[in-house]
Amino acid sequence: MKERSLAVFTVLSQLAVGALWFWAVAGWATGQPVAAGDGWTLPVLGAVLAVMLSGLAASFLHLGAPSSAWRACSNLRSSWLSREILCASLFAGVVAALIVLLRLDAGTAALRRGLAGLAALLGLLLLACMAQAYRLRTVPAWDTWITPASFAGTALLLGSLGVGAGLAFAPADTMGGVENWRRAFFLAALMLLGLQLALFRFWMTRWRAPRRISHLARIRVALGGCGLVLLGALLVAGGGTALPVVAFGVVLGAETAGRLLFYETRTEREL
Amino acid sequence: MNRFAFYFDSSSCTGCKACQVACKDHNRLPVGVTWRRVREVSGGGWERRGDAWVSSVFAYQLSLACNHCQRPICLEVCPAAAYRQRPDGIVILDSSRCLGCRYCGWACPYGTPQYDERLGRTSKCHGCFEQVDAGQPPTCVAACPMRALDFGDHAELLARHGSAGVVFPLPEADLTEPALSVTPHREAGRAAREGARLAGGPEGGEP
Repeated sequence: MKERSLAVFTVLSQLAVGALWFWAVAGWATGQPVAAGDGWTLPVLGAVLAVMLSGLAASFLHLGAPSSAWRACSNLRSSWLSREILCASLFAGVVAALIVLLRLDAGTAALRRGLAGLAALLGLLLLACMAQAYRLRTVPAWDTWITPASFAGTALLLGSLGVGAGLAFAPADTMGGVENWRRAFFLAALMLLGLQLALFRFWMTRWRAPRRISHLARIRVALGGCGLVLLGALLVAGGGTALPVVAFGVVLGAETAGRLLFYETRTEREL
Repeated sequence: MNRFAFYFDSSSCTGCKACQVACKDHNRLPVGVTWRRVREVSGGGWERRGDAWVSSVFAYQLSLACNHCQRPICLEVCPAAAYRQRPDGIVILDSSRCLGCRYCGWACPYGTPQYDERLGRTSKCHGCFEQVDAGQPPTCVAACPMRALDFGDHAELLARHGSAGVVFPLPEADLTEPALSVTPHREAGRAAREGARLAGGPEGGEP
């Protein structure tokens, strides 16, 4: 499990991107753009930035020579890893800039919307670069359409559930009626979790897992199943503030287990 | 020399590892890092013929270093641009630029980049380019007592020795186009068939 730190980086960065997207979509749909400076925009953006920075910090733990990390963007010409790191850094930088503008109540609305749109675009580029970085032609287990599909699925699933769980702490009139939005996010998360589990099952039938890591697959499926039950309960009965957070934690655990399993599919060559 | 390449005669190699030891000694490599490594490929078993059991066990050796590929994926993927390729095709890694991310090790289908836990950086065979430039053979080639290793221009080596293309268990050559010419052992075909049969079987439990 040498790639634990990379699993954390990829999952957290996908969560940050997905959360920004869902918050932006909700803002657009309610006519309250994400950069409008209402009470909940700053906490959401702050959480997005904190999660992305945490992921980047985790990625440093994977490096054998962190002091050379500043060279990581030196091969933009051909290295998808360089491009991924650049996009992640720019994403964090743009979100930070937007937070500063909102905090200081500076800049025009157009500038803020532009930065928000740029952040959303950088998030998309980050996911694309991340997927391409793992689609190595020499690693058949990763070089399939399942890699970008599962990365996108993680971003959307964790993003929707993360924003939905965060809204559990928001006043009822947030976004013109927070309860409907919470239910929409939880419904989206339920469907996405079902898709992720179906994709996972399809992927596992193509790859025969050695017994030594099949327990990870069981954990992933078990947590995913619990997540489905919790999300169903949230849609039916609501859930205050505790249940959404628990549901988010369970699904985050499921996605992390799935990501750890993804890294295990690369066969270590003994040549 | 237009294109540097290694030649390896698997039919002559005894697996003595003189090449591996010479490379390790010359380059002062630490424990766990082997730029040239010798691997045994074995198979077969016991077959019943009438009332008798006959052994069909076989084994042969593969001596592998960096293949200084035509399309070096290590150079493509390294985020620190730590790799460069000389006009003669020798791929050199500047370990001082290395981040220790091990991405090149993931990408290389031959397992050539070797991560040094002590330094936190990766290193690999550089073809003893300084010796080659001085008209001398690489250390591993000079050390081989069976003369199973050679080096030279890729086209000349292919013309002289031919090429088996892919020799089991090496990956498909079109992935990175290695500058490598191999004379296969007579049992390489049987090893490939057994390997394919084993790869197609169940590997483990249900998830």
